[in-house]
Amino acid sequence: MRILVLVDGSKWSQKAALHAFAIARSKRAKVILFSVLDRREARTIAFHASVRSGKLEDIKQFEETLWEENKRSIKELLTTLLEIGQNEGINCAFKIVEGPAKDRILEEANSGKYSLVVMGAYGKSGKTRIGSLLEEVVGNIKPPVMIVR
Amino acid sequence: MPDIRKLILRKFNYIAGSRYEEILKEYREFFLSEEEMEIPVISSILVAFDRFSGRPSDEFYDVITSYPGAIIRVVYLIDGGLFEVIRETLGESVAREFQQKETSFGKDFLKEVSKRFSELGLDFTAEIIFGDKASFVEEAMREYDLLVISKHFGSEGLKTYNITPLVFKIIQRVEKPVIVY
Repeated sequence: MRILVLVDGSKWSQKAALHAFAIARSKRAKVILFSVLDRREARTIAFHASVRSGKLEDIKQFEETLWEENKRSIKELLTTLLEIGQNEGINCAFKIVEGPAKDRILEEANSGKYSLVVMGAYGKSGKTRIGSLLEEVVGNIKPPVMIVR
Repeated sequence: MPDIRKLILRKFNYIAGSRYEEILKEYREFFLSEEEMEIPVISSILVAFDRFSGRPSDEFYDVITSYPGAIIRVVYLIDGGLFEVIRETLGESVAREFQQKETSFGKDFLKEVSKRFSELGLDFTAEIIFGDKASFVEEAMREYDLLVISKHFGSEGLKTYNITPLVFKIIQRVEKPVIVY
């Protein structure tokens, strides 16, 4: 059994990883911690922040800084989660890809390699409403999907 | 288990420095609390079916065996509201006929699922429930740790949605983990 965990950096996705580890212990499953980095996210934040602050001349550099920070930050989180899993004796690994989140998630989840996908109910915006990504992907993922709260 | 909280927050601690505790308090909705770090043991599972659920896949059975020792309640739900509409518009006998057909279908469905559950050595009960599907699931989930439900639960035809609106409603309202298959 292989379990795919969708990690977006939110606390809900961290909880998803912990749930996946619990199942992996029971089923001796392999856990893949999976993150998608979308450049558009850094681009959007850079644009709006630069417009508001009146520093449009620095926008490219700001976008690049945000993008590099996003990559560094998610890698650090995945490394930490990996460390937690491995300390528990769980066979796990992580994978980071770039591109539109919905497309990359569906490609990976429906690759035929996984028996279960685990994800958080909410995203990085907090517990305001069910995550928009969940709405977009859960219906199109072929394996069973565990939604963690 | 190692101190997960410490591991996850160590970077933030480094960045925030002396304001660490203050920021942690103000932005707590974004951080895992100590309680949230403790993943609750799944010892009871509600599995909800209806006539739209479809035959469960092998992956469904594989996932359901992830919680050895858990008590499983399998329910097949028949729409009580629809029965009332039929009774009011087409009469009692038609409504009874509808109920009999639905019950018969449900019994056959549960028989098949029960056979697989027994083969897997699962501790379960199976029953047919007549009532409002969403209300029943939401109410029942106060007593269970995990809900397992088909993405087709509640309605047929998924031309615009790959998951039914009823399942989304349930996911939004149930404050427990949900496995959608």
